[in-house]
Amino acid sequence: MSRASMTAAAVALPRSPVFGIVSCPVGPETREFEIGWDEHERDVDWAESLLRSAGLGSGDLVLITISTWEGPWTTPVVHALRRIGVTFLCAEVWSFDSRRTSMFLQRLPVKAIFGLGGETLTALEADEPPVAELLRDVEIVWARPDALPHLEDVAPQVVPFLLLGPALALGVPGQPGVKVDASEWAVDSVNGELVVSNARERLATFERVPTGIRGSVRAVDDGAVVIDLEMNGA
Amino acid sequence: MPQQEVVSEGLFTWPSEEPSLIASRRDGELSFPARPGDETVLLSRRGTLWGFTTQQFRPPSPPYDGNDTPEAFEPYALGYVELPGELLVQARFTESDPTRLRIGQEMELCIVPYTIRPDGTEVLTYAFAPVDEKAAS
Repeated sequence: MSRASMTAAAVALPRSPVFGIVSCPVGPETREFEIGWDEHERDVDWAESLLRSAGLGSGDLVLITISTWEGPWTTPVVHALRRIGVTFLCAEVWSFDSRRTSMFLQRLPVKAIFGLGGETLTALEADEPPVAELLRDVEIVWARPDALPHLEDVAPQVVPFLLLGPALALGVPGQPGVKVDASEWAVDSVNGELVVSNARERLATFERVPTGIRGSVRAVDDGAVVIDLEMNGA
Repeated sequence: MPQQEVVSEGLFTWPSEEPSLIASRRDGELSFPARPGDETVLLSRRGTLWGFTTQQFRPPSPPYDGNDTPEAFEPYALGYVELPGELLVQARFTESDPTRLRIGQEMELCIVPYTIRPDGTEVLTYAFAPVDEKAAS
């Protein structure tokens, strides 16, 4: 049985009724909710569009440091990378695996990093070569909020990657703020804290979920909610 | 001195004061381990560390055939050494502390025991040692 015939057989099998069931932190509390196939496909479409607008293309190398529980937010990004034809390299986001991140950056022409975290950077800072040297040729770094302060004046194009309640928020190099898919999510600021609601029907309904992240909505523009974050380096 | 045997014939020259890995060449391309029937080539004994990782727990057996137990297992490092102008060779390293290994450092081939058979025979395999470690010893 070839890979193609196995894939064809798998496609013909009855499909589960939902793309996935999630149990994960959403803002200040743990929520369990379902993600449907349609909304997953829409999330992949949005991620693909954003990644392409950031300059990623077929054949690029992207290092991703994400953890499995983040799947609701990051699976669409990974699927979008596949669609684009990006080759992605995986390393754990925790400090014990920072040497793998270092090895990839020293040995391969990594164009972008997705999900770089503070733990990884703290471990890299204690080792050689210097972080600035490791990131010198990386064109885009999607960094977690706890990594942003480490990266001031270090990496050429650092933009935020954060979990905004149930929504994914990503920066785009050369553009202000972070973007959230406006066709899926409505974002408001209440006393400086960002809250997120569904903008359209999804299997799970969120209504003004507090995110624990401070910021304000700059604009809703070209299909994206553009948010100014209140955090160091953002 | 215990009786010794090599883990596999044809991997490296042994016994030898300066052992070398045995590769082969076909159509100008090197292969290690050597492919039967091809021209034999002795590889450089020194190279640079290309990349590495550490084995922190006892691997499943087989293929691992150490004579230790999960409790007695000693972590080791392994990775690739780039032999200049030749190829990358996967090998164990004599240094198991990852903080004492760095990409690009000079490494030299050595032959080390890696297990002991029930009859007491010591089994030898090839490994690479950091050149500064060898100098210190």
